[in-house]
Amino acid sequence: MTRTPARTAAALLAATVSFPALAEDGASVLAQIDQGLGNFEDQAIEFRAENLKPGTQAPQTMMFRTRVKGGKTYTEFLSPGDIKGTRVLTMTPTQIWIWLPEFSKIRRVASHSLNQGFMGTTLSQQDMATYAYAGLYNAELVSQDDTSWTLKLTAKDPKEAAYDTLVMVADKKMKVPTRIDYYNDEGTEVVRQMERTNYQCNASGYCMFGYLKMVDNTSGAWTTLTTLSAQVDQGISDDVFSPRTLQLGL
Amino acid sequence: MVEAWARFIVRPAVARAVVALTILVLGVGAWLSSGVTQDDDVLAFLPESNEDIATFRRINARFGSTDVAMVGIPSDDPFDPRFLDRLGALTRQLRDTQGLDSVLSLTNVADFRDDPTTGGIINDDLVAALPTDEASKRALRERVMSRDHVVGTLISEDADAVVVYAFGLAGSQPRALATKVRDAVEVHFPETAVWYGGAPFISTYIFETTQADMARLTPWAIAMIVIIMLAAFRDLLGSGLGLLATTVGIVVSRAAMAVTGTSVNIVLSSMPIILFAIGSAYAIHILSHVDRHAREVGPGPEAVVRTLVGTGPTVVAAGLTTVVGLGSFVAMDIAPMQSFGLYTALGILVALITSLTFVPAVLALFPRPVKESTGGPLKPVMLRLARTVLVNRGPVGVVVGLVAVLGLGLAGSVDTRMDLRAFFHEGTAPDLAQRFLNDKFGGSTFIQLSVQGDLEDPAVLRTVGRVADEISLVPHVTGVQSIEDVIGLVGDAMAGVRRIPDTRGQVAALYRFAASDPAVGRLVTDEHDEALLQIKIDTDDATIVDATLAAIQDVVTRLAPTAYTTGPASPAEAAPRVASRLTALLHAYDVPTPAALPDRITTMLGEEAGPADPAGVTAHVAAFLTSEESFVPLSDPAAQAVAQALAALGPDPADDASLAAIEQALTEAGEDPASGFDVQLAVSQPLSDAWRHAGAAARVRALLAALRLPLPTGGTGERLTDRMVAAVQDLGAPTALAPAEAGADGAASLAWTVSGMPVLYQGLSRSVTANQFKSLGLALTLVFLIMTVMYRSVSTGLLATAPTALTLVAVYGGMGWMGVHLDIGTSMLASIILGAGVDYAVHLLAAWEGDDALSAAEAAVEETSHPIWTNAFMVAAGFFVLTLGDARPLENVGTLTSAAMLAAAFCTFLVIPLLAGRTRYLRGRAT
Repeated sequence: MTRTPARTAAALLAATVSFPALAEDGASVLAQIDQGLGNFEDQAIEFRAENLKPGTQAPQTMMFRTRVKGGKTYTEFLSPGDIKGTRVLTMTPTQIWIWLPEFSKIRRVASHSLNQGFMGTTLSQQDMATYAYAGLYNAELVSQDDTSWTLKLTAKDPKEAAYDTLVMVADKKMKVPTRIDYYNDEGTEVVRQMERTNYQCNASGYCMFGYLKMVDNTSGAWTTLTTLSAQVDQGISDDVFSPRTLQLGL
Repeated sequence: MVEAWARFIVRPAVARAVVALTILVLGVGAWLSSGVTQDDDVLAFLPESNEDIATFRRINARFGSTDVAMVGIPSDDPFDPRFLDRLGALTRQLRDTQGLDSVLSLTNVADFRDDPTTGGIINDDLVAALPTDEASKRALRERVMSRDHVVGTLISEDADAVVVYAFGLAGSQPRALATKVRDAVEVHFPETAVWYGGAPFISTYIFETTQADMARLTPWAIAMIVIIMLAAFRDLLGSGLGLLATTVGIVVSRAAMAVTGTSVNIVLSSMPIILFAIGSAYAIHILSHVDRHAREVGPGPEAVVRTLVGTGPTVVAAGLTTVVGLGSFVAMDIAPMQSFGLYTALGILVALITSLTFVPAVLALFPRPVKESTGGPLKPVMLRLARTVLVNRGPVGVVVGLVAVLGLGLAGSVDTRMDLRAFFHEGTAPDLAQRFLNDKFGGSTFIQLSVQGDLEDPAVLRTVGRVADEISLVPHVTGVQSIEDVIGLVGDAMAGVRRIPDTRGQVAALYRFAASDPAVGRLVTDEHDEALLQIKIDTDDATIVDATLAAIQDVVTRLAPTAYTTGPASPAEAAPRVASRLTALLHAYDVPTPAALPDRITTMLGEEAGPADPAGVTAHVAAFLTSEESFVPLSDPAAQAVAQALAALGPDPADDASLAAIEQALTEAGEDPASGFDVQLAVSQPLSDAWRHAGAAARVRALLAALRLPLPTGGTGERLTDRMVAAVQDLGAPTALAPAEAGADGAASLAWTVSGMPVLYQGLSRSVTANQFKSLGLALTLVFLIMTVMYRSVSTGLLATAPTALTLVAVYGGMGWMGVHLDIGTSMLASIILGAGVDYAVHLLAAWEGDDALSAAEAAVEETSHPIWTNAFMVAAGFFVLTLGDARPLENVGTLTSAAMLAAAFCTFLVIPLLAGRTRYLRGRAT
C-alpha cells in the first residue's frame, strides 16, 4: 500500500476552501453516520479476524463472538486454542473486565492507552469500541457526490482521540463509513487506513459491514475482520453485560 | 614480436587510431560510470560464509532489524511539560514514519499499576498526561522514577537525560533509518545537543566521513602527485600523459562496476587515489626511458620503439605484479574487499595497457625535446649505498638479517582487533555519543542470545529466566531483556504475580496479551519457537567485549541444556534457580552480592519454610471481595468477616469447610448466606493465590533477616521485596527441565546461540586474519611465478621478491612495535605493498647489466633511481593524503603504505646489491 503523499492532503484541504457553500454541514452529516452506526438495540456478531504482522508472510486467524448493547460489549473468543474461552466485557472504552479461564480469574483493567492494539492486531481498543464519532471529533464536509460524503474529522480533545485528523468517506444511502484515513500529527501523511465493505442492511435500515480491513502504512501490518454472522435486536438481556456472566459464562 | 608491436604502434595512422580509441573509451567509460551506486552498509563487510553471519541475518529476518538507532537527549528537567510535549511529538512522528518498525520513549511506554479503589489494574501510558503544575510534575517524576525497568533504560538515573529507541524494519538500510530519525529529531529538538548512538548512526557516520574525506582529499592527492611528477620530469605533456593513463584506468574500472551493478563501498571509494598513486608508475617508466633513448637516437618514434622493446616487458611484469597483488583480494571472504581488489586490479591493468599503447602513441605523434638526464637528487645517495653494500656485503647482510629477525619477532605480536572503534576516532560524534549512552543508559551495544525450542513450556521459560539472571551478573552487562521477564510482567498485570505461570495454557494466554506490544516481537517469534535475550553491555572495547562474550558463553554452557525432558519439579532444580533470580534482583538494585551469596541462598531455600502469615491472607482476600473483580458485591464488614474465616482454615481448605465458614461469616455480618456459594466460587482462586504469596513472603522475611543485607529503603526497598516474594513463589512451580541425552526418547531440544554485532566483529577479526594469510599467500605465489617466468630463474624470482619481503617484515614489525592492530584497512597493506613494491626490484634487476657487480649496480641505479624514487614519493604522497581526513579505516593504511613504499624503494637499493650474484638478469634486453 503506498502512502498518500502530502500533496493529496494539501489538495484535500484546498478543496475545503473551494466549496464554500455545501448544502449540509459536517456536523449534521456525522450525526447521520453515528445514527447509522448505532441504529440497533442490540446485536450479536461473529467475526473471523486475520492479522498479518510486519515481516511475516502468513496471517494469523482468530474467531470471536461479540454482543453489543447500549455501548457495552461482551466478547467471547472461539479460536485459536490459546485464547479460546477468554471473555472480555467492555463497559466503556476504558473499563474492561477480562475472564481468563486458564487462571480461573477475572481481571479488571482500566485502560486509558488509546493506541494499545486489540489482541495483537492493528485495531486498537478505540477502533473496536467506537460506535459514534461525534463525541470525539468535529466534522467538516470536504466534498460530496451522488453516493458519498467526504468528511474531515478533527479531534475535539487530542488527548481523547488516538489520531487528531481523520478523513472519512461515508456512503450516503447506508450512512456508514466505507473508508477512514488516519493522518499523522502533522496531517501530511496517512499512517493507517480502514476500509469497510460488503455492507448488509436489515429491514430497519441498520447496515453492518461484511469485511473490514485496517492497514498500518508505516509497518505494512494489516488486520481484516470478516463478519460470519450478524443478528440484530434479538433482545439480549442486560445481565449479559456483568462480571457474573463473565465468570460463569452465558 | 615485441619490436613488431612497437613499430606498429608508432605508425602515425595507428598512433592516431590508438589516441582516438582511448578518448572514445574514456568518453564511454565516463558516461557509464555515472551509474555507479553507493553502498553504505557496514554489514556488507561481514564474510558471508561465516556461520555467525548466517545466524545474525536469520535473527534479523525473524525479529526485525537488530540495529537500534538511539537518540540520547540531555535535559535539565525532563518532566517539564514543554520538554515532554516535544518528546511526545517526536515519538509520534517516528511512530508514523515509514520504514520504522516501532519506537520507544518515555512518552509512549505502557504502564500498569494496581487500582487501589476498585481493584484490578490501571493500564495507561506511563506519561499519561503532561503535568500542569509543580505538584503534578512532582507526582509524575515520582511515578516515573519508581519504575525500575524504565530508569536507566528510558530515563537516566539522575533524571537528566532521556533516550529514544527507533527500531527499523527487517532489511532496512541503516543510513536511511538514521536519516529519518535525525530529520525528525532536528524538527522537535533543533537547538538541543542530542547524541546519536547505535549501529545505524555509526555506520552512517563512517560512510559519510569517508565520502567527505574522499571528496575533499582526492583533489589534494592528485595535486601532490602532479606536483611530484612535474618536479621530477619538468614536463607538462609527460605528466599529463601519466595522469591521463591512470584516469582511463579509473574510468574503465568504474564503468565496469556500473555495468556489473557493483556499488562503491567505503574501501572502494579510495580507489581513485590509490590508482593515481600506483597506476601512474608505468607511464613514468615509459617517459623516463623514452627520454633516455631520445638522448641516444633523438626524439621521435625510434626512441619510443626502443623504449617499448627494452622496457615494455619489464613494465608489463611490474604491472602484472601489482595486478596480482590487488587481485589476490578475491581470495578473501569479504565481498567489498573482493570488489576492491578486483576493480582496483582492473584499473591498474587498464592503466598499464594505456601506458603501453596510448602514451607511446602520443609520444610518437608529438615528440618531446631531448632533455639532459639528472638522474634525480637521490641518485648519488643510491650510488653510494649500492657501492657500500657491495663492498661490505658481510656486515650489511648481518644487519639486514638482524632487522629481519627482529621484524619477524615483532610482527608476531600483531593481533587482529575489529570493533566499531576501528572506524572512528576518540572525540568524534559517535565516540562522544557512545560515552554519553554508556554513562547515562548503560551502553548502546547489544549482544543477542537466541534460544530455539518450545517457549510455551513454563519450565523452558524458567530456564531462560535463570540464564538471563546469571548473564545479568556478568561484568559489563548492564541489562538483560528476555521474553521470560515480559511474560512475568504480563502475568503480574493479568494474574497478579510477576512470575511464569505454572501451566502451558496459562503461558499461551499471556503470550496473547503480550502480543499487543510491538516490542515483544523483538524478543519472541509469533510461533513461540525462538526467543532472543537482548543483552546490553557498557563497553565496545574489543578485549573486554571478547571476555564478556566468553563469560556469557560460559553461562550458557553451564546452565542451558540442549536436550531435556520436562518432568515434576525438584528442590535440587528449583532452589538454585530461585537463588539466581534473588541474586540477580539484589544485583539490579545495587545491593552488594558476595560470591558466596547464591550458594547460601540455595541452602536456605532448601530448608523448611516458616509459617505463613494469616493476616496477610485476610488482607488479600478482603481486598478482593470489595473490589470490582469479584462478581459478588459485599460490604466491607462482610468481606472482612469472610476473609478472616477463610484465612483461619489455613491453606487448601476442604470445599464443605470453606462454604460453611463463608456462610457463617456472612450471617454474622448481616448478609444473606445464600450468596455463600457464589462467594466461594469467586474467592477460590484469590484465596489460593493469597496463601502462596503469604508463604513466599514468610520465606523472604526469614532470608533477609538471616542474610542481613543492606536493602534500599522506602519504595525502592518495597519493590525489591515484592519482586523477591514473587520470585520465591517459583519454588512451587510444578515442572522443571531435566537434562537428557540428545536424541533420547521423549527428549526435546533447545538450541542456544550467542549473536549480535560484537559476535560478528569477532568473526570479522578471524576473517581478517585468515584473509591476510590467504591473500598474501596468493599474491606471493603469483608474484614469484611472474618473476620466475620473466627472469627464467627461480633464484632470480626469489631475489626480485626479497626487497619487498624485507619491507613487509619491517612494516609488520613496526606495527607490532607501535601496537597497531590488524583490521580491514591494515589487512590490505601486505598485498598492496607486495604488488607495488616488487615493481622497483623488477626495474632495478632489468637494468642490472655490467662487466662486474659494481658496474652493473651503477648502471641499474643510473637508469632506475629517478623513476623508482619518483614513483615511491608519488605513492607515498597519495597515501599520506589519506591520513589527513577523519576516516579512521583509511588512516593506518595511508600512513603505513606511505612509509612502506618509501621503505620498499630503499630496500630495493639495499637488498638487490646485497644479494645479486650475477652481472645481468634479463636476457635479450635491447638498450
